[in-house]
Amino acid sequence: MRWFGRHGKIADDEVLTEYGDRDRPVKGKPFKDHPVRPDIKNAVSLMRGKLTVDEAVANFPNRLAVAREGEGVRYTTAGALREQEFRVEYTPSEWNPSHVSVENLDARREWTDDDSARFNECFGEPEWKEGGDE
Amino acid sequence: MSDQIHLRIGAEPWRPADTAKIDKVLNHYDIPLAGIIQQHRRYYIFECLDGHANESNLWAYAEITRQERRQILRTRDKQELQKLFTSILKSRSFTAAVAIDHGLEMAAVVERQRDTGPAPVKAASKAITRKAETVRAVNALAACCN
Repeated sequence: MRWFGRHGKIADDEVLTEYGDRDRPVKGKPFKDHPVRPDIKNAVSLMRGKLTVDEAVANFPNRLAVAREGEGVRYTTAGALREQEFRVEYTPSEWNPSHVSVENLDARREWTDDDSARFNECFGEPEWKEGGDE
Repeated sequence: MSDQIHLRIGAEPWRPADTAKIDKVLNHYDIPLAGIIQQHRRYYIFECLDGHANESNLWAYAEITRQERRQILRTRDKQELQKLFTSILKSRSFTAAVAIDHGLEMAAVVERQRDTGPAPVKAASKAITRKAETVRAVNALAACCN
């Protein structure tokens, strides 16, 4: 990867958070389940720790720790992803110290529908922000 | 030369012209969301202001000095980075742009705000809305003339 390095190992029991948006789904999905730009990084971005919706959006630029109604999070663990044969790497940047990358064991392999299905199986029910301030 | 970045419609927001190259990515979540771009020996910050994980998003670009670049690169704390970027966008005119599906669609210059002026995201949104209304009016006029 060109823009950030790998920094340490994430334990199997660590909780990871994925951000989503039920009111503005991308290609019909509130949570992505495949790499958005595999030409940049053939991985899905998550955040380290069990973050609330407010805490998750605070990792984005120009977002105070106040989520909008309809924004949400879902959780998994690094171990659950590894059991499904994904690699989990801690890849922080200065402005997003929680950033985690999830990729296939062979990172060069194209992400398939089966990969997306196995990825989705790793997550519990989403939690949505209700009655946000923005 | 203008102090505004040169953008190409259709370009990726984090590499907004063929003459622009990424100097540093400071925030990445599926795509680069904030950082520094170099173009024609000048440096610019770029920042996704809204729609970070959505199909359409709002971006800001502002020229910075080499001293400001060094200050940004020295900063390790995300809140300090946010303060720096917001302070830069509030202290000068900048370019706002809308991207759809990772391609720039429309851009507008945001004039320097008063210290008590709106947040950069509001100023950017207003400038883009005004530009879109102008484009619609021109298109309507052109349709009348045809």
